[in-house]
Amino acid sequence: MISSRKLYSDVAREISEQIQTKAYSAGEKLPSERELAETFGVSRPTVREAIIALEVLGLVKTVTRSGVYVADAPPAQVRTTDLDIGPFELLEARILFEGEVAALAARNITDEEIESLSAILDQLGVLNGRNDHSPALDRAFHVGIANCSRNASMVDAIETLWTMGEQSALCRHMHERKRNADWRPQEREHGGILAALAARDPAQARKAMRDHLSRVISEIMDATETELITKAREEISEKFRGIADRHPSISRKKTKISKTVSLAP
Amino acid sequence: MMEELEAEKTYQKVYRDISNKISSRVYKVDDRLPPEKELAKLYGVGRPTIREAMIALEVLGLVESRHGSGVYVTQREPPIVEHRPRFELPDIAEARLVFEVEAAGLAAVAPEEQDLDDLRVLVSTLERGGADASGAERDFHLIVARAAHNVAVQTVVRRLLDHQDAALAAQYDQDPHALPAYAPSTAYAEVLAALEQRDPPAARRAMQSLVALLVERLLEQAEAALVRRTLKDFRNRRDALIRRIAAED
Repeated sequence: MISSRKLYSDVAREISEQIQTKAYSAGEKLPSERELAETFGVSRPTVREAIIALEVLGLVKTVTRSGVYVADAPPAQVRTTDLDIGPFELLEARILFEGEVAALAARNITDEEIESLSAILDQLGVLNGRNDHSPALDRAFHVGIANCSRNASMVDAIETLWTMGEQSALCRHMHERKRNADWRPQEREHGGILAALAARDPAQARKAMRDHLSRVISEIMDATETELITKAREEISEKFRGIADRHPSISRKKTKISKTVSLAP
Repeated sequence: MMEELEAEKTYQKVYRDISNKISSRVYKVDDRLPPEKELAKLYGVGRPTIREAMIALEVLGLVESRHGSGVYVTQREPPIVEHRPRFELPDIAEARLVFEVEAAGLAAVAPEEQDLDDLRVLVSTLERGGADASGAERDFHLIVARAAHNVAVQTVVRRLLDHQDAALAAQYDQDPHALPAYAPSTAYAEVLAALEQRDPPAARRAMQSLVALLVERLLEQAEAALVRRTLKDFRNRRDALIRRIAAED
């Protein structure tokens, strides 16, 4: 149960202070993400943002599958006052606002605008095929939808949100980590949004937009966790190879590492 | 429609530029402005556009047409400064209605005691009415957005309120009859109650009612102001034209 809606920067600041007052010493392992979420009364995505922000600041490092550790030589002076907005915080706002804007767009959209949005999706499709990305095209799609609302204030709001994301180093950093993720869900979802708009169905447009942005949140969570899972698999693989070397009777056949392997200590 | 807007913009550009020159004493009081033909060449526009600009300057009280000899600067500072706000009240109103409802829903999830305390103070101020009520009105919305604990939500709401202030200031400049708009204090109290109960659906409903009432008042005032301004502009232009015709006889 989330008891407070602290921002990641509040959590980061507190952990940073704990590190600087030596409540945690250099190299010490921090509690798990789940435990930290409970302690601070925030969601796991918020803890994730805080940890990565601290990593970027050089205060912690993610070393093994199960842990985040205080850096060996954490910087003495760290400014946690001007932290950028986190991607989950931004996406939360976008879910609310872009959802409504999509609903309004569905009421007003013209055939020309549908064509034009469709062309943007085609271009995105071409890039996806080459494993290429274009944040600018993604923005053009979303702002293009906002323009269909016929409300300059709402367009301004959506553009503001996108600009905040572009200006946030933490957002860029975390989005970058999902660069190599499968592009097909996004393509499907964009298509779903456009279909709802073409059908002039406000409720469906709202839902399609919200679902899309919610999944982006999951994707970033996965992408920033993948390293830990990948590391986990590599480590287990290593261990297994070591055992197989020592016991030739054990088959070297690759085993499937179950996804249900718990990562929590 | 677009051509009309373009033409309108051009004469505005011209009269603003001349108005600035008058403010900065490039043209001093009692100076004669360059003749129409020269101004047309200078600004690269048609003579009708220059005439429009002259009428606007006359309406603003900056220049006067003197019988036979041309247009003279009469006053240095324009009595009315016409700002064209970037965003218009109907758009702002619709955006507030939609976005603030979402913000309220989020705020109701886990508002902090400080947020609730601040809102209680504001509701009291609004109940009393009086001079500080308009500040309290704006602050109420800002603090609900703050209680959502999302910097992006806060930024969007704050921008909307700023845009609204700009639009209202422009309206007030041209029409000092405008009064600040409020909803009845019970509407604010209901939003507060929903936040205290941590009830997001109730918060959304209450905020919807509050903003709807507010927006209705704002738009009524805007409509009245527009009618007054349009009449005034029309009469000024009519009078200026009649003076011209009389002067040319």
